[in-house]
Amino acid sequence: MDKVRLATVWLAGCSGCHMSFLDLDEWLFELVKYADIVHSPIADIKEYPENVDVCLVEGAIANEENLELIHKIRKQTKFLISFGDCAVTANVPAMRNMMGSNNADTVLRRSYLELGDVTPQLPKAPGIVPELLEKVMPVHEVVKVDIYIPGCPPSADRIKAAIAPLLEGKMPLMEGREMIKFG
Amino acid sequence: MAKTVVIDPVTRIEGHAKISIFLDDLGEVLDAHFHVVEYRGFEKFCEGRPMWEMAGITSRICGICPVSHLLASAKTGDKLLAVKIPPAGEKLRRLMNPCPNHPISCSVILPSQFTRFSARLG
Repeated sequence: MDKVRLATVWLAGCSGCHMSFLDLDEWLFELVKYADIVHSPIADIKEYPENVDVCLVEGAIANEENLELIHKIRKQTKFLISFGDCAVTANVPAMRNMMGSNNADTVLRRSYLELGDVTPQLPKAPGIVPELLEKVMPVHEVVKVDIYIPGCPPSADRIKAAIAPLLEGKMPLMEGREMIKFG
Repeated sequence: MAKTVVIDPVTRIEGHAKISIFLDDLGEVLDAHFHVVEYRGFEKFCEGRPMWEMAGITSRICGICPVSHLLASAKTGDKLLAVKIPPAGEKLRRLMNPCPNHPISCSVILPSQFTRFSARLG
């Protein structure tokens, strides 16, 4: 049987879910027997590849680059997993949404102008630094999500229980406190 | 010929960054920019929220070093309340700080800067 082509990405988040993924420790060796990790922020591949079987998406959609990338991921991935509370609910990155429609500008002004000690200026590098979206969104608000792994971060055991069946082509049972509790 | 080398994205770091390196006609480095391409706004959205939430929220700044942010927040809370924690608490804080951060940095982030391990993983 061909190996499963597995990718992981992080969007607007803290990378804590990926650290939890690394907490799979020795099971990672088991994992790479059945899966090739074709894209991940902890490896060096810059472009999201074609024909990905399973992708773990950590983080919310907070800027134009996240938005562009998530559409690309959906197009090139068979099974998309919303990985961690930021992907599932937009969580902490979405806290700026509560400040109304002008929130992106409000948060940037606070840090880059009011708290800027040296040459305060708003970040501006068109084409390089992506503009913040007016509203931070969970992944499923933008593209179709196949399963959700909540948790801030999800425990390594939960990640394993969700991924292991997928490697055999089966659906994981996402039920009960052990699998779908937030936080 | 003048050229710009762009590293996009910078991998194996927590967070999202790009680097632009500007070369002159002779291929010498003229300038280099480090771009931070993610911004969430903790400095603003934490304002006005209950102090008790801060340790939980600020530890989500970084998934590699959450404990450092948590402790900084807890220490600030101590100062606001003008309290001193007991010696055992102080020792526990000192003990917990390097626990997750340093092994992660030493085992995941740093070696991959000097070896091909992470590239092979990909």
